[in-house]
Amino acid sequence: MGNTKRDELTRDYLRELDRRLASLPRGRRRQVRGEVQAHIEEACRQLAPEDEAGVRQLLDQLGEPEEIAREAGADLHRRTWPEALVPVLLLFGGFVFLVGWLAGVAILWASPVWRLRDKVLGTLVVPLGLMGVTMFGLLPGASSECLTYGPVGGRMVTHCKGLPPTVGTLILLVLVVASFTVAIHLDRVRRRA
Amino acid sequence: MDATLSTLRRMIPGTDSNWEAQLRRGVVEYCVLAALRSRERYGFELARSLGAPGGLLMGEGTVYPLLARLRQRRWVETTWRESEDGPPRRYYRLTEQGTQALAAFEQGWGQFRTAVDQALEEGG
Repeated sequence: MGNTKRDELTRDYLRELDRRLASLPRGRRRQVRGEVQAHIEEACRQLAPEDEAGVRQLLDQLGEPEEIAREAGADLHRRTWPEALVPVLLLFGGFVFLVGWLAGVAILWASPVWRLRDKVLGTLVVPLGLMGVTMFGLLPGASSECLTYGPVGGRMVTHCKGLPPTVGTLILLVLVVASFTVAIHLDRVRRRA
Repeated sequence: MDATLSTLRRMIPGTDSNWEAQLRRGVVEYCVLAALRSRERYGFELARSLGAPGGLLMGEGTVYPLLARLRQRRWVETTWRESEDGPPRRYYRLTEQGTQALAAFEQGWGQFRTAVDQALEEGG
């Protein structure tokens, strides 16, 4: 593609289409966008290279990008808006008197966007989200408490109970990563729906 | 859920007044299915045959989101095929489900058309 008037018209058209289709799930958006582009390219092959009027006519026949987007259902409210909140609610809702997390779970189970597997995953990894992780971190056994006393025989003695510090930190880290991973997974599934 | 939504829409004045667009919207996807009955076709072909002025589409381009929807519903399936004069093309083909949907529509449409014709004649 060079920089002829014809390329410019086509580029403007596709750019406008992209803008209008932006709220669609990625798979659908790509298919529609790809097909429209293929349509323009095929129609252009039947035209002389400098036939500007021909390009205008073909874009006219193709219809307004707005019309295509409307047919694609790219309306503002078709987006799954309560579902969009779920990852955030599951992660952070626990800090809002736990109610936020419960609301997230309620939407998760009520929505047709996710399969059973996703719903179970979203609920159990991790219960109460990051609030759950924090509570785990505060459990008496989760991190070690050390008591140093002495000197006994000329040395200070340290006694620790609970998990060794590295193991406790590791578990916390795994829980945090798992929470975020599940939240991102749920969001991806929603976008594909 | 869908029923509630359409009831709500009917309650908002003006949103349901464009009967032609509404009707077209409900019917045109079956016309796309019908166009695929005899053989598989690629998008450009379908757009040109259904998008003729005064035809069923609001513009050739609207056939593409429609096809995407039919595909998501598994009424059509697609295959990429090489073409002689350009990049590969995505061909659309009716599935068993699509064939059944089309048959059901044809039957219902016949009855609907008769009922509307009768209502219009009796009313006049």
